[in-house]
Amino acid sequence: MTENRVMCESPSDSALKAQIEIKAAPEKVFAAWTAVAELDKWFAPRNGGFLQVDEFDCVLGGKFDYTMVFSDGDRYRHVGTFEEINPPHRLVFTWKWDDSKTVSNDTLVTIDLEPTEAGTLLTLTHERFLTTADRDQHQEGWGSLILRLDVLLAG
Amino acid sequence: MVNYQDEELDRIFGALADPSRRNLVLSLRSGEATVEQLGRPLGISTPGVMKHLAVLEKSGLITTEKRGRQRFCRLEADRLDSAERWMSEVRVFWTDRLNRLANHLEGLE
Repeated sequence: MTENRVMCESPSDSALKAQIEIKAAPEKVFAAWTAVAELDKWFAPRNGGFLQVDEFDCVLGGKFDYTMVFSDGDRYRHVGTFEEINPPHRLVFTWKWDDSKTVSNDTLVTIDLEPTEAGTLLTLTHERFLTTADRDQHQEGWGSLILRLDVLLAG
Repeated sequence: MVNYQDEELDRIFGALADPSRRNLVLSLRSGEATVEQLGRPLGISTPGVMKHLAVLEKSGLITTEKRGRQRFCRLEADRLDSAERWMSEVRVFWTDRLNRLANHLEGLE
């Protein structure tokens, strides 16, 4: 069992934020996201699964298309476009996933890297989960509402 | 990575995007109620309540049933689970990946 060092929060109704401090230089962390050989080492499914990379063009406007193939045959495909590449500070890409039963909407992932004494503070922001129309209608976080309702319903 | 029905979630989030509808959902958590009972504390007219209830019913968050001359509404709590599950699956996905990234870069894996 891997120790969990990730802090998670939902800063708004359509976003998820995760943070972790890694004992490695920002340059190394940045390369882990932008070089296929590096990505394969931590993104691939464990226990006999693998990462099938069909496209990975890490330039501005370049596309990626890779599939996590699990040992039981399940396949999760991820496709997107690199929107900002600013080594070793920031990486922004669109993100859409497809598990062969359902397809997500186009979401946006931003990776921010800040040097710290120990290494790098990585902040991942995953947003645009909903359609634009839905998001614009929102006055307050649905995430907190759902959690609140869940507590009330359970209680 | 995440198994969910896009359209279903759009409807749920759309339904919850309105404060009056959120209040209706909260009112129903204690059990079923008639349209009149729901509208009174919120200060919404019966036609107004009906309009909101139709959106909630379409999303599957509530069901309604006509008994005699009254329409009863009931919260379908299971529907909230799918929205919550979807968000928590994304959270679990990134938590797992980022922990592995850290372990990889720190030479622990």
